[in-house]
Amino acid sequence: MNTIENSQRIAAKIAGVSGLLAFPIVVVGNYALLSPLVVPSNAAETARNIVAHQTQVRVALTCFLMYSASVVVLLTALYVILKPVDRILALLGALFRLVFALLWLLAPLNLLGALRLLGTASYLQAFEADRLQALARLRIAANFDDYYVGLPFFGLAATVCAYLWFKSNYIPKGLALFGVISSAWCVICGFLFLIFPHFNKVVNDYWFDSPMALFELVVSFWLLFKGLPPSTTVTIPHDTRDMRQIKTFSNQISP
Amino acid sequence: MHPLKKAARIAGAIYLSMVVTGPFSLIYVPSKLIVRGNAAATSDNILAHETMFRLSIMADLVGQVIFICLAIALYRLLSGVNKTWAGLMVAFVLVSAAVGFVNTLNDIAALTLFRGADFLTVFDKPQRDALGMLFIRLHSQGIFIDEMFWGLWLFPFGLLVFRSGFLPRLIGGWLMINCFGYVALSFIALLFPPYYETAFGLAQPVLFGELAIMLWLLIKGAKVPSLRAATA
Repeated sequence: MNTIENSQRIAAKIAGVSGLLAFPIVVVGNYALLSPLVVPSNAAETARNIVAHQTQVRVALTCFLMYSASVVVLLTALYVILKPVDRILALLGALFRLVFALLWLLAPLNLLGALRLLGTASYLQAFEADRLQALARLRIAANFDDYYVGLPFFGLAATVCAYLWFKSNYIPKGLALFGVISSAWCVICGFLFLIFPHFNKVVNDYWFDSPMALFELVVSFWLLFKGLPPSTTVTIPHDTRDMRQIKTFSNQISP
Repeated sequence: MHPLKKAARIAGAIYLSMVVTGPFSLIYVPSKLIVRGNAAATSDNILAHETMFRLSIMADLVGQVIFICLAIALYRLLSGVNKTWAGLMVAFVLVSAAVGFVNTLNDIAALTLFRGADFLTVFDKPQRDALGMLFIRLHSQGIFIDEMFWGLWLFPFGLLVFRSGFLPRLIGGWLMINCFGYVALSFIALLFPPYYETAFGLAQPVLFGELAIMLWLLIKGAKVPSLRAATA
């Protein structure tokens, strides 16, 4: 890449901020707010926790909503940065990430469904309490499935973007290569887990996406604090037409 | 007609077509068919006016398609101002439309339960009605989630209008405030549901920013730069 436009530099800062904001939002929403309320294999206890901490659940689902919005900002910024490298691949990466963002939006819907089922609406008295608790638990469990349906799309988006980072020289090549490998690994794990539900006994769930998440975090830090390289960085082209362009360029700049 | 003016008028006309589908499925049909807290009455109403209910589902779907077309028309009009913001605007609209598409499934599920297909005979009618009502309520919750994206897309849209030079800066600012109106409403609906009705009433002046830009695009189009200004 011989020139980096100002819009790409601004987009890099936006990508850095949105990438770094998205991470704590989703971690707080999932691990600090929602997970402590869910008791594995105990729908009644989970229901009691949710009813007793409704505001906590609502804050968690709002976190998921905000995470989804942050991902949309991130994908737009990444598209702007990577479009000059390869327009079609940058668009493909953005669309994969958009599908992932959309699947995250199912989480708030599931939680709102659980809250409804455990609410006081008179029409729900047609069901016994334990059935409503089981249905509510099912809605919460659906969050897990929705995430793992979305994960291959997240992985595909990250793989495409990491490849474009590698091609562009905008970030260190080693980091980009780590991104390609960790994201492709996530795609493979995601698909294997959908086909073989016990795959997480072989490879722990956290190893599916943690390397890729680490890559995305490091890139966000890089973009925010280091930014894109100065425009003087020139990628050496391979074909002869580009060689001619370099000769012309050299003639122009030589005294 | 100048291409800029033509693009503005097309966007305005598409915007206007949303005025037909939106209030029908969001306001008219729910007010006629849904009885709050009464699953049996809601079920009876929907089965008695099934075509109207199905039309509202169709209007919901068509509305999302029109929304995507509107985003494309506005992208054509405003991408020259700033491609990044225009792209962000389209991305938020795509998310909103996708949520809208998925959300119609709740209404379809409710209708299936109210009608009581053969495989649902394991549930008695009050139970089917209760589950159907649950899906109707979930549809409303889905709208609250979508409300956040109805707002978010307006920020880049308003900013582009503000910076365009061919659309009024006042309406651009209004649209950006409109963005915060919808986002605040979504937050209130999700975090403090009892206050939503009051907040919705108070937010009305802010929410008319969209009506203002729609009428402006349709009636005035865009201010075409004079030849002198263009050559200067």
